[in-house]
Order: sequence, then structure tokens, then C-alpha cells
Amino acid sequence: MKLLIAFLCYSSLLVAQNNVNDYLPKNLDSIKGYLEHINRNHIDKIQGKFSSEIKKAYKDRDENIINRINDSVYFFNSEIKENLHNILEVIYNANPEIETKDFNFFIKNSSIPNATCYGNGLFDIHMGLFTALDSDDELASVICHEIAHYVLNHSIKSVTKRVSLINSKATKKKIKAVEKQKYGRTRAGLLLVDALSINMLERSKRVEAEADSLGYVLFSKTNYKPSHAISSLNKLKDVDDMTFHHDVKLDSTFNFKNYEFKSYWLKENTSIFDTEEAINEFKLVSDTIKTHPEIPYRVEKLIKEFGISSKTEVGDKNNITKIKTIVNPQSIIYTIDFKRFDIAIYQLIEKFDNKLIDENFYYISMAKILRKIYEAKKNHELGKYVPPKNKFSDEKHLNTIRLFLNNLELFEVKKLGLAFCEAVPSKISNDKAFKKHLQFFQQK
Amino acid sequence: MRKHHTLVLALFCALMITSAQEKTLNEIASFKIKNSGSFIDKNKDVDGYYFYYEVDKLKKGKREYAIKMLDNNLNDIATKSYVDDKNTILANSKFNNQALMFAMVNVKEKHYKLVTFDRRGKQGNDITIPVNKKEMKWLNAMVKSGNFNMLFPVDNKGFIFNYVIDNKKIGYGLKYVATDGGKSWIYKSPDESKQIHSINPIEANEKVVVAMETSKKSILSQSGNTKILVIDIETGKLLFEKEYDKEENPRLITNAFLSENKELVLLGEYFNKGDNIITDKSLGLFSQVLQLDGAVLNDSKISWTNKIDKMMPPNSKGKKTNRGYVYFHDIIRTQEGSYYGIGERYKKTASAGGIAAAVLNGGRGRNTVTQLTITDALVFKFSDKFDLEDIEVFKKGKSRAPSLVDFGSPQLNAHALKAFGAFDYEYTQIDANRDRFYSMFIDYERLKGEKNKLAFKSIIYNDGQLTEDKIYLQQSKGKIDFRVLPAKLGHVALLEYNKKKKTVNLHLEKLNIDNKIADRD
Repeated sequence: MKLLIAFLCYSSLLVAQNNVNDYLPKNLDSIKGYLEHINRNHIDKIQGKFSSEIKKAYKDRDENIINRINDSVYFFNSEIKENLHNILEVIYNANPEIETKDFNFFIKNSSIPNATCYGNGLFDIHMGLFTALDSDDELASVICHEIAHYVLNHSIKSVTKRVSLINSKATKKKIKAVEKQKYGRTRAGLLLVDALSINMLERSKRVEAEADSLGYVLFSKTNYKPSHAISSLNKLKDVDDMTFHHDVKLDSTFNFKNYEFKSYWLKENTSIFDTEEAINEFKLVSDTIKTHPEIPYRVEKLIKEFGISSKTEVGDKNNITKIKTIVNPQSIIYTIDFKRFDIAIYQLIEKFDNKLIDENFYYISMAKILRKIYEAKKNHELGKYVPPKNKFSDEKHLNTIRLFLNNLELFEVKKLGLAFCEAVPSKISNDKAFKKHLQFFQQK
Repeated sequence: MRKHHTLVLALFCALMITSAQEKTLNEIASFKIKNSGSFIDKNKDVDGYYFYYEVDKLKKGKREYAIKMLDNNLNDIATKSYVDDKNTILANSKFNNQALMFAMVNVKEKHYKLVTFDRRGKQGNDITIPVNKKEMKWLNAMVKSGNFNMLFPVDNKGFIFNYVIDNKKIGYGLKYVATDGGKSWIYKSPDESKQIHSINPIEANEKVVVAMETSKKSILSQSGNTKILVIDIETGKLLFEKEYDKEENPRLITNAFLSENKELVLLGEYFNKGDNIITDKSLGLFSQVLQLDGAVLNDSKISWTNKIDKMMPPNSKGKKTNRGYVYFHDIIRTQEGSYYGIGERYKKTASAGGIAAAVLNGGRGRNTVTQLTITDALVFKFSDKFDLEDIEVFKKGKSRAPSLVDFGSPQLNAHALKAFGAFDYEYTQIDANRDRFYSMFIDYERLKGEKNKLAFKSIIYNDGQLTEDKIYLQQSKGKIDFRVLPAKLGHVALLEYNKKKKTVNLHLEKLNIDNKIADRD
């Protein structure tokens, strides 16, 4: 999944700026001013032994965020902002002691349910978080967790800890000792890197637990239902376990009277090694440690610490429902814009099967995706956007889509596109946008 | 794979702090790349890629190496630790569906080492073959010649290691290593021979190994004899040999196949008795079918003058032009029985630059005044009886290569220049399952009103038709450069370098078959 995140970050650079209004804010100049302001304030707070090194690290952060905006990493939508604001208002009003005037929540084009606190007042909420949660209460609970990171100053503390650890006398001594080693120097260096990483990862787990506790304190002051702090965590665990696990049934989705599904579209290559996971004889212990404590542990800790009842309470769905209406199609639109056709097809089928998008949107988007796949294959660039199947990946159904898309020949995409367009319900076939896609495949 | 985590506090990813300590630590803990390559079989199908690193210095002159392997989808599948003497070079590697074999060379310790890994990644017993300096030098020269299979995989059976033996003159050894529990063996050239012998395994199945042996009197000799050897794969015993000697039956063999009916099919060019296959002009093309006891079942010949020239298509102006010479890179047999010869047209022409340099130097110096001008790609189609049915011309821009010597024949120069990669032809991939082949060329296109561009062109045979696919190797006004690497069947790996952003992107792309042709199914 780490790879997926990296790829999504990378592919954002390649986005054709189709939805200029949504990906680029109208008030970019004022955002620039805001970012400069919060970053300067943040840097001014840095004091102590390694302050100059830490300040250096934060120096260009505002520019990095601007670059991300220009690379279409975020989605600026007034309706989402308005509904999110309603939830934030409740949290802010219940916790007046927190200075929130510099707070800003950006919506990130990512289907991974996640949120980020930058420590300076800026937060990210991934679109995937809105789709994973079911109530305003659950969303408020996650936001409170992020605000707790801010209140506890975890960002600066963690960076300070890292810089101090690296620059400590003990570490310097260890590095020198490794440098002096005549034999086995690289392995010794790797062990040292591993030890330092483990140290930081353990700390990361501790701060997450701290944010859980304070986050709940902030959340409990609101009128939102306490049990939703637990249900939100459980849903994130479910999503974690269920990511890309919806059975997309490609052999029925792409099986048409005029062009039947071919079993060789899902044929796999023989791999050199027949192992369940990649062999790595240089694997570090820190590679296997998670940054966060396991969710069941976090749930248990919260229940124990605050005596939260596990009984089901009905939450408020007013704002999140409106957000979901925008986010469900948008999370597909941005993957098409980012040319991540594998994720786009997965989401399209999954959301259509679960009735989260309408029929019109499904058919027109699928025709559009098939057309774009044809164009990418024609230009020999599909592999840039859709990675090949990875036999070690646990994203089973996404992997199947990747195998399918990479196995398809150019002429097969054309036939598939035409067969798909010819099979759409008649009420859609008169749509102007749809007609263009149909004509494209008819002319090729 | 690690699952993703929810509610991440941005600490590391948002901030890149690089202190002196971290730089030192990164330097210490990094591996140094020594070389890389691909696991490629006789059909030029890529099974994966490897990267060979030096990791650590160990006691007693040992080193720890890392061999990182990617599958043919570019996914990381293994990073294995490998300990050996310093100066150990990873020379070649192949996969045979049962095991992976690496040929290691150690110049200082004077040995080759064959290292195998089974499909669970477990290292088998190493096989060490002693080697002297002279043998190593010869082996090096043969590898550089470009037409030498050091390691030859036999699918689901074993591997053949081809090496040089310093006997009375120079000979060869074929070391067969079974991976299916069968017997391993060595087949050597005669110890007492006064000739230089070299061998190249060109085909193998579950019964036999077919190898082409060439022999000549001395290193400078421009003539020699060719033999086809058929060896029993279970015992290493020679089943038969067929000599194509200069005096009686000179032939240049470009390809060999073992058919399903257990027959050996040889393809290439034939010559006049007494002709030298390297320096003389061939009379035409041949296909010979042999039984596995050596009996000739069929020997079909097609003459340049009587048949091929008459069928040579006119040029774009409608004129029948002089054929010039055709350099055959490969002859392929399709599953439905037809044969396809892949060649490039070339001529010997005067080199303006060479003449000018020769004039300026007063005839001194090493400049040649002639050059080979390489033009179109030609694809010859033959029936299953080896009758010429068609010749298709695929237009390519002219490329020129200076003759290595002015006095040699164009054929000699072409053969020599082939080893230097002067032709535009790259390789041909054969997909037996889908009865397709892909012949790859690099062409320098001269475009009207546009800057000239390098293009990677593939001539694709599919369903009895030939089509062409093209990838330009420069985009965005030269800001993005591409390098094409071999990949799994029907694909190329594109290494994309963005000069402005200084980013590198490696991705696999399928070669495209023309819609109009494919529409017929």
C-alpha cells in the first residue's frame, strides 16, 4: 500500500487539468499567504538544541504544499467545505480553549481512508475517509484525533526527537564505530539504521495512543455520540482489511453478446520464484513494524480508559451524506483524471454494485475509461499509469483489473469499448457525452 | 505486504532532514551496483531482470554480494545474499522454468562458477570450472562478438554452459547441468585438434541439443567450416554431425528448429562450392530438414537471381532497383509452417567524409573511403515447402557505417559491422503459443518539416499478416528521452528519462497490432 501511496503522489504530477476549478482553488494567492503565515508561526515556535536543523527542515514546507496544489493533489469544493465546516464548528465550540483561527482542512484526492496533521494548523482529509465513515459523529471523532496531534505538538516533538536521536553523541559514536569497521560495514550500517528506525516507530505508536486519548477528550465535549469514536476505528479496521476486496467480476462486467469475455485476458505469466512473499535476505526488522498500534488494541484502550459503551447509538448523518454525494463520483473522476484506470474501474464497479453512483454516471464513465485506455495503449503509455499485476500484493481484485488491462491488446480494447457502448440502456445512449465515446469506437 | 495505516501523523514523509550523520549512514548502508541484465531465453522472451551489487568486504578476501531480481512485470521478487571471493563477476543468467542459473567469473581465482537457485529461492550446490587467462580472453572475445550463448536454458530440463578450453589449439566445452534429476555431462572438442573450434548451442528439447560448431585454422583465417552437432541430452553422446564444409557444401546457418515431428530444420544461405561463407556472396537461401539420425529429408534452395530478384518489389518511384545485398538477421518458422526471413538491405557506397579525410591525410591514417549504407527492412515469406511467396518492404531511413576495411567484400564488412551493432535490427521475439513474432529495429527517421527522430519499430507477424508498430524515442521537443529494453513476449520496457525534471520512469508497454488487420478475427 505504501507503493500505492507513492504512485498516487507521483501520478498526481501527470494529471491533465480537466477540472481546473476543482483542483485549483480560486483564491490561490490568499492560500499562499496563509501557508506562509502558518509556516512562519510554526518555525518561530521551534527552540532548543537542534532548532536550526529543525527550522531548516520546515523552511520550504509552504512551497511544497503549493507545489502539491499545482500538481492537483487536492480537491477544492465549496459544498464539501461547507458541510465539513458544520462539523468543525461543533468541535471548535465544544473546545474553545483551542486556538483554531489558523486551522484549515484540505481535501486530498486519495481513496485511502486517512487524515494528516501537519502541526501548523493545516490538516489533510483524504476523500477515502468520507466514504469509509457513516456519520458526522465518526468523522468528528477522527478530526478530534488529528486536532489532538496539533494540541500535543507532535509534529515538532517528533522531528526534534528524530534530529536529536541522529545527532546524539551515542549515535555519532556508533556511526564512527561502523565507519571504522574493516569488514561487514554495510550490514553493521543497516543494523544501526534499523535500530534508529525501530526507536522512531515505537515512539510513533506512543504518540498515536496519546492522540487517541486526548482526541476522545475533545470529542466527548461535543454532542456527538461517544460510541462513534469506537465505531469509526472499527470501520477503519474493516476498510484496512477490505481494501480492494470487492469482487469486481470482470468476466460478467465485460461479457457482451457482440464480444464475449476471453479467458486469456486473465492469463498470468510464470514467475521465477514460487514463493508466497518476496524473498529479502536484507530485510530490516523496522520494515515489519507498523507506525500505528493495531486498531483492536486502540479500541480496547479507549473503552478501558473512558468506559465508552459499546451499544449502538444512532448518529447524525446530515453533513456526511451530503459530502458522500459529492465524494462518491469525485473519487472516480479524479482517478480517471490521474489516469489510474485500474482504480477507476475498481471504484466504478464497486460503487455501482453498492448503488453509490447512478446508472448514467456508471455507463458514461466506463465508456470514457475504455476510450482513455485505448488512447494510452495507442501511445504506449498505459504501463505508466496502470502497474502490472504484482503476485505478492494482497489487493486481489485490483490486481485482477491490472492483469486484465495489461493483457488486453489495442484492438481488443476497441472491440470491448464498442461492445460496451452498444450494450448500454437505451435511455443513456442519447446522452451527448456518451455519444462521443460511442462514435470514437465506431470510427477507430 | 504491509497494509496501509489509518490516521497517519505526517512526520517523516513531509520533512526531509539530511544531516551529515544521515548522509554518512546512508553511504555506509548502501549497496554498490556492479552490473545488471535480463533473464532472456532463445525466443528472446524476458523472464525477469537482475541487479548485482557489492554489499560488504568480508574476511579472507571474501565479499558479500546482493542479487536483486525483478519478475517480468518489473515487480521486486527477491534480494538474495551471495558470498564469494572478491573480483567475482556475474557474467550471465538464465531461467529454465525449474531453476535460475548464474554464471560467475573470477579472473583472479581462475574459475567459472555456476550458481543455481530453485523456485523457492534456495541456493543449490555450486559447480566450479577452472579456467586459465587465455581461455578467459577467448571467451570474452566470443561474448563480445554478440553471437555466443554462454548459458543456454533447456526448459524444464537443465542448463548448458558453453566455455573455451585451451588444448592443443583452442577448443570448447559444453557443460550440461540437469535440474530435473537427470544426468549432467560434458561434451568437448577433440583435445588433439590443430584447429580453433568454437560452438554455440542453438536449440534444445527434452531429447537433444543442437549446436553449431565452427572451426578454422588460425585466428586471422577468414574461412572455416561449419558443422551441426546433435547431442543426446540424457547422455551427452553425439548422435550425429552434419558438416557444411567449404569445398563441398558451404552454408551459413542462421537458425535451427526442432519440429514436433522430431525433425531438425536448418535455415540460412547457401554458396557455390569452394566459396567462403563470410566473404563471398551467397547464391540464395535454403531450408534443410533432417531426421535426428542425420538423414536429409528435404533440401530446398531459392536463388537470388532466378527467384528472389524477380519478386523484389519496386521502390517508391515504381522502379525496380538493384537489390544490393541483404543481411539476414533471422529466419523464423511459424506454427502454421511458413517461414519468414528478416533482413536489411545494404550497399557499399563511397563515403564523402572518408574520402575527404583520406585526401587531407594524404592517404595516411586509418580512414576508410567506403561505407555500408543500410536501408529498408525486408521480410521474405516462404511456404512450408520453402517456396518464396512474397517479399514485403518496410521503409527505413538510411543509416551509414564506415567500412572497417576498404578491400574486404561488403559481406565481410557486414558481418564485422553486425558485431558492432551497425545494423538497425535489434532482435526478434517468437511467441509460439499465439503464433506471432516481433522483429525490432531502431530507425532514424528523417521527417519533412520536423526534427529527425529516432524510432523503435516492430514488424509484427500475427494471424498470417505483417503490421508495424512505432515508438518515437524522443518526445516533448527532446525533453524526454526513451531507452527501449527487452521485455516479456510482445512487450517492451520503456525507460523514460525526463531531462528537465530529472526523473526516470520504467514501464512495460504492449506492442500494438494494427486495428485493421486485427479486426478480421
